[in-house]
Amino acid sequence: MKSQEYLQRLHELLEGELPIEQEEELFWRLATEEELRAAFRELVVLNRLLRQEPEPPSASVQEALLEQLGLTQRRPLWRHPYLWVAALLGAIGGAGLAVVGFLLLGRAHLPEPVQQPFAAPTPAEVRPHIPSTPPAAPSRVSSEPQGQPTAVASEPVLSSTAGPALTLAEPRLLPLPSPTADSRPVPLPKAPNAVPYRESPPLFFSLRSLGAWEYSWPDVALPSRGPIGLRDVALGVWTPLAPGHAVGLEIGSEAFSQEFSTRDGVLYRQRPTLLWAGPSYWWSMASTPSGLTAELRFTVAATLIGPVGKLWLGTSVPLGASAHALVGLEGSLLGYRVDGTWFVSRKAGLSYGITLGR
Amino acid sequence: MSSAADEELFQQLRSGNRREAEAAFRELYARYAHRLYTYCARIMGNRYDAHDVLQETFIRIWQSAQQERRMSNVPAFLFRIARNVCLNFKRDNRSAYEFDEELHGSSPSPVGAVEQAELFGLLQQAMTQLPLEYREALVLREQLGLAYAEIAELLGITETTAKVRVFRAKEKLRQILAPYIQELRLSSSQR
Repeated sequence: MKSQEYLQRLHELLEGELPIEQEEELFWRLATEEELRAAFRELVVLNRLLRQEPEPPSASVQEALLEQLGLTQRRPLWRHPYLWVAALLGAIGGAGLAVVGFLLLGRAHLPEPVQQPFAAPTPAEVRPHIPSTPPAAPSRVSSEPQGQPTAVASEPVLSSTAGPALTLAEPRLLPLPSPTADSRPVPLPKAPNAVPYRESPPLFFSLRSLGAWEYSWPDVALPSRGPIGLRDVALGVWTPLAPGHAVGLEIGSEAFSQEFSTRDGVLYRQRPTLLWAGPSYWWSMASTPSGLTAELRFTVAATLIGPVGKLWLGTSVPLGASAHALVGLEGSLLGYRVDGTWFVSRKAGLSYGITLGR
Repeated sequence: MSSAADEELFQQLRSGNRREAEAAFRELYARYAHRLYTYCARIMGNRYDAHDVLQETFIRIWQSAQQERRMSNVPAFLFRIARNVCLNFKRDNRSAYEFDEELHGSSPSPVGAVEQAELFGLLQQAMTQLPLEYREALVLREQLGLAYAEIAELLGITETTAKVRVFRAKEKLRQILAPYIQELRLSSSQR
């Protein structure tokens, strides 16, 4: 028998189609012929390779088909893939409107600073002015039951339930007291440790660079190009809510490392520069006598591919009347979704910048 | 819906009720898309064309269903359409891709996974060198697990011819891959 025929029997053996009466002869041949054994090994590997299944087709194919055939059901709003983008943009817009509203309306009701001492007498200094002696021309006063005369106030007509009932037959105006010491301006008492009033500015601005000496997870050492020439910068506009607290809006451009695999099994490593924007909260915690202030800032922002959370912890140093230098550590977390799976990019690094008008 | 026969699902594709038609389409897709995609990917040699062919195949299935045709063997019909679309793609030379090294399957074991993946890439490349009639017989037999009788019916050939094509295809592949398999065996025995 030719070796080609034994090869064919090998194929049949591996497919389970070799008649049992032919097996013994083939096994004997395998035991004695190295070439056939090598072919057998190769066929085993080949069969294993051939039976590997590729990944399933991309899920997007089915959706594209349904759409093309007009079979797509209307997707519920809450399952819309860009719902969170709309929600974040709404939050940003809402925060912006709140800030504007606060600036336009809230401040209009704040008390104006006191410029002049208040001239009105305080309650303790208001006393009824009753002459100690009756006037020269006594009024007609009837008194029941005692009939004793009593003092008459200038106006209005008085009645008292506690004392004897009085009837003012003909009320008469008493002379008003002349301006005396009672009507003099009363100086306000000084509050202890009074701070001179200083109107805080309605807005201040911050500009900072992000991620100097940054560390990223995943670590993708690829260059990144900014979409509009900006790289790793953030601009913020803030309004103080209370001493030490401010809210604002930040917009920035920043590179994030990404590593993810698609449903097709393709691994992507990239480092795109993303624009982000979102509301932010700024807390100035404590100051040293030299003016250094510990500060914390928390931002929730949106990019076109997913949400970003940012936390900054650092210090500010006064540079002048209204400028401060900022240095701190900043951590960022970007979430994004590919083929139904969420991936996360993390980065941390030194951040520095400046605030103006604060 | 999931227990419905293929023929019932095919009938429901032309249902006036859009929701019912969509459910039938989704079920047919769930049953056959992976196998059709496997076939298309092996014949076309890359997943990009395979996705296009798969999409066109299902569109044609939908169109056929709207023509009120009776269907007795849906899987055979599906593969016939897929085959025609693949052949049209090949004939019209519409492919922008030659070979896709990323068309990996699941590795049988983590040991030597890299070598396996490399070998699998070589297998894909080697398969593109096979004549189309050998390649499709091999894919239908080895990767889709069809019986020789089904392959014969699908390709319009005799069962013996189907067997010969599969045998020749595997022999050709074995000869192409033999040096690599030998090398893999040597390197794994040295570890």
